[in-house]
Amino acid sequence: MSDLADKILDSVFPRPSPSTRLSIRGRGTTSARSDDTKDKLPHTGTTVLAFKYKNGIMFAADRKTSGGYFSIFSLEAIKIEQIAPRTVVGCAGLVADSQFIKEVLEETNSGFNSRYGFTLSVEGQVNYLVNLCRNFRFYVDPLSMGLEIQAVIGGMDFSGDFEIFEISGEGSFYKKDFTVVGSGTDHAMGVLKENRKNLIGRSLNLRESMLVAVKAIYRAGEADSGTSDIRVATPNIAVITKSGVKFIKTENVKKVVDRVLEKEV
Amino acid sequence: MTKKRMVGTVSKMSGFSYGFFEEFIMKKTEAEQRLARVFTVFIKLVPNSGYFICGGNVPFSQFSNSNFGCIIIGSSLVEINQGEDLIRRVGSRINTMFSEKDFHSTVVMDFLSRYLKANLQNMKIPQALAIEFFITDILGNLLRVHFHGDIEIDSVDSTDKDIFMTGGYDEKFRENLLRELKKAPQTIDKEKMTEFAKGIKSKFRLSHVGFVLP
Repeated sequence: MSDLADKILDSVFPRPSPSTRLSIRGRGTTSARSDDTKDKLPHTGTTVLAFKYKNGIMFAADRKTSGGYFSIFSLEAIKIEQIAPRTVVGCAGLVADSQFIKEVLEETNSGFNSRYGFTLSVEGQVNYLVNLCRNFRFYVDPLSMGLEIQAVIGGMDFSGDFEIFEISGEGSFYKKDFTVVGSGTDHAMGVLKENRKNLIGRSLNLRESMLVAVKAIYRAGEADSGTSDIRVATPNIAVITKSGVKFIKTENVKKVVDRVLEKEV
Repeated sequence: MTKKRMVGTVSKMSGFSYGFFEEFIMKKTEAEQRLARVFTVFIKLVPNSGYFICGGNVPFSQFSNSNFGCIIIGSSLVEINQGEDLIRRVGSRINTMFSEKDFHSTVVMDFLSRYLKANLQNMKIPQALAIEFFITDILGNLLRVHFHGDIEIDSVDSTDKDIFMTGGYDEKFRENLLRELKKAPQTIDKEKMTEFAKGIKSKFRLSHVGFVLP
């Protein structure tokens, strides 16, 4: 009985294991075989933040993609992506790994939804991703630190609860009320912590939340070379509410940027 | 003298030769016989509610989480325990891969259907698992998984049927039971329901009859 049940479970719910794509990526990586890999930190030239507000969750991110410390690849990068009707992921780290996990999560979500008629819970998606990261580290590339990403996943559950999770490439995750990932974390977190009470109490409305988010990105961009300055590239903002995911129009974000610059500069 | 086979594979049982298909039919019929006088019935009440009446010669079992509830009936306690084990297994796998919140009625139904079908069709397993599942979920769906892996899905809101049944494969028993069930209480009144269950128990000479509120 157990063999048959296990066979069926393995075919229906294959454990997130190093797939062919992963193996290729693992073998191709150049950073894995050196001795100093244990001390290696992810290159996370980005600031992505997420916090809960009155009507749901707000995500914000800068727009810069940097190549090493000296070149800028793009100032129009979109770092917040929708992966399910009510779930959003924001990534800092290697662009390739970020795109990879986004694809995997999208596939998993649509597969589960089409087979069972239910969307995956936010915790379910996080668990899946965490398992993938751990398996990657253990089986594909034991010498490296795993996928070079830091991610934030936020969304609304079937039950109507809003949840935010912070995930690291090695496979750890934390449930949070507000969080920042990427190289601009320290500076952006400072702004979020100034508003800690309001964020935990979910008392900010959309306008106030946008002000906090843009200000946090501004502070990060001012001090961190991996984060774009809001004067050069307008940040990306997305909100998750009971009605779904909505990306705020650039014109509207620009108005908030102007207000922040008036106060700060 | 040679006998023409229905399907190529041949094995010998009790001195007679049977084809693969004949063995399969025998296995299925044997399971049906074991489930002949075991049943779960959902009596639909207006508006959009109802209750279960379960009966047989072994006690039935229940499983529930925040997303669905399930009644397991079977021909023996061992088989019912195996059914519970199957549900726990799929629950544990979902928990490891996704989360407890993602353990939905359709997930368990899909797995049970696949398992029971594979179990019946695998001729290396001599006896089919004679268990059936009746699942209700938070969306008001009634899902039935039969011992041969077939599934039936009904929505309490949109169906005209009043009685939904699993088990009871003895035709005569089924006919008499359905006739009796038409007299079932049409309100959720525990005294009346207990009385009715006792009536069925004595009339059909069953050792266990009870009702369950979903």
